[in-house]
Amino acid sequence: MRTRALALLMAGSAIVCPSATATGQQLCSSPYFVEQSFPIGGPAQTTWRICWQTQPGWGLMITSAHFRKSPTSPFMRVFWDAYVSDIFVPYHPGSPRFYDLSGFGFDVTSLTAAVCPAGVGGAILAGRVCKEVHDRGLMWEDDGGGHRGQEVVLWSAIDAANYNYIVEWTFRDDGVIMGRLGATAVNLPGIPTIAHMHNAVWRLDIDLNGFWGDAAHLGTHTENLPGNSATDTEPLIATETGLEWDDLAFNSLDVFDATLKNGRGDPTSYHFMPIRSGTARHAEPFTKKDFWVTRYHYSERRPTLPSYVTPPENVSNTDIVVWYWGSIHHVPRDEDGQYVNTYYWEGEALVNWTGFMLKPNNLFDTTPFFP
Amino acid sequence: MCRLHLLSAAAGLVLLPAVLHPQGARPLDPLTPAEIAMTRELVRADTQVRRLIGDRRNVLTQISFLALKSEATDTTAPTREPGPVRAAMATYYVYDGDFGVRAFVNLAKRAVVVVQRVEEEPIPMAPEEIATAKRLALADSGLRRRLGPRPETLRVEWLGVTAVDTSDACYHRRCVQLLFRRGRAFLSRPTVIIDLTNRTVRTEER
Repeated sequence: MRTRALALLMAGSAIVCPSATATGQQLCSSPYFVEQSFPIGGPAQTTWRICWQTQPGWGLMITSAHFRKSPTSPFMRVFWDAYVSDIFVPYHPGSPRFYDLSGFGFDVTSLTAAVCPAGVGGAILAGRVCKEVHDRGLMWEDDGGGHRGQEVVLWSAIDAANYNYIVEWTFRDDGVIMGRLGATAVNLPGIPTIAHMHNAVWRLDIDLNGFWGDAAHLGTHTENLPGNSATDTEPLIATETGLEWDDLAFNSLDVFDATLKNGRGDPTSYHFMPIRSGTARHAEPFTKKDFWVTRYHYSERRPTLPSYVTPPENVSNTDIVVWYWGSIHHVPRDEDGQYVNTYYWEGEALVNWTGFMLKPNNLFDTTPFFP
Repeated sequence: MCRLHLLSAAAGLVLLPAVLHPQGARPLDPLTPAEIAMTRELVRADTQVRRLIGDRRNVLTQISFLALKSEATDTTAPTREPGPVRAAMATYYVYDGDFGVRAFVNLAKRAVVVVQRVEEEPIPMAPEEIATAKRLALADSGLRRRLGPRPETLRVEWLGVTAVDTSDACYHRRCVQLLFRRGRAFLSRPTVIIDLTNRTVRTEER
């Protein structure tokens, strides 16, 4: 049965941390607080303020993220929190079927300068998280002129026995957020050549401009065949549900705040867009859909979907959570390693990735970092 | 591993650490040792937790941080959004019945706010369970012979086993697969399964 716990908490809660009532204030201490302005070296045009933690069984969690689009703008909350909720790993023969986060409680590894070198803008935080601040390639180009973008990346590695998982969060100068999961290290001893999936489930509590008044719309593209025209629509997702991602429709989840507009009066949103190489469907019910939109309940932290959407609650103009899962299809190859004798396997599977992008829409009034 | 000594804990009469939020700490900082200790004491004393667990064999597997959202008192700018409420989530595994119990603790109020019975999710392993599994494995003479000379020098990693097939010996049991590593190489055979529910060691060839 679904827990309706928020009301209980609210009814008894008069305790608010006094230093934290305004968005954009420093909600965590160093080294868990990252403030990064762009361009690097200044003068600042845009700024991210991020809090993070690592916890056994959860990996690297973003515990808040605020963005300021100009030196004169207020900080705007984007995430209440965001994290990989679980990693489900079914092997092709049907067994084993691992839940690499919820089932184990694995912690993150210590890092060294070998994987987080200063040469890429790297700095190791608390011995376990790499912060990289660097160039990200072209932001825009026009007839030989243009601007190169920059980003701050936070990543850590979960020590999942033979495997390591890279949990990576990227915050770009243009307000974009990217989340990725990478699978690497050693294939499963005993069956190192058996194909399998690493399914990452993200839980994103997107709270644009605060946690009230949010809604998700399904960005949908349609080619009006056999004609030549095409249309784009954005229907409201009114109640809790799971949704399939249709590559032909370029589906995105567009999250709006009820009152947030840019200086031109246009509604601001963040568009959630998968970055994926395929779609896996397993026997487990939560794998039957790609996105889930639920109303915020703090006790809903692992992906025991679809129970969270039964019965469906209203998710329009309220506090919502977006769930998304993407797959790494790992078909072992010789590059993964080899038997060094009858009993031992040695070698490292190179990193395979899956992830997503959250892109602001009508946040800036015009092209950022222009001219 | 622990058992709840229910009769010895009078409901509500739990001594709490005096310092809950250290000077200078901020709302989204990690849990402090005092907060972890307080969470452990509160959930052990909670009547609903005690009712769900009863006298069954159990283990407190994990205490993790979360930030709760508090009721707004003023929704106007610039304090449109109130700050986070520090909280903890404690998770038990109960061997007899193969289920979990999860309790949410509002640290500022020093109160357990929600307790859930968890049956649809895997429950993480406690460090002491892994230590038990390693001890059982290295005490098994047959396995020691298979591991070769000086098995104590092998690095041991582990995986929880989630059995979905009713014919699997680990179905609805608490099982751990141990992986043995020498240098960067993993021992590929045999597969070593420790059943923590009945404390047995099983090896399989694949």
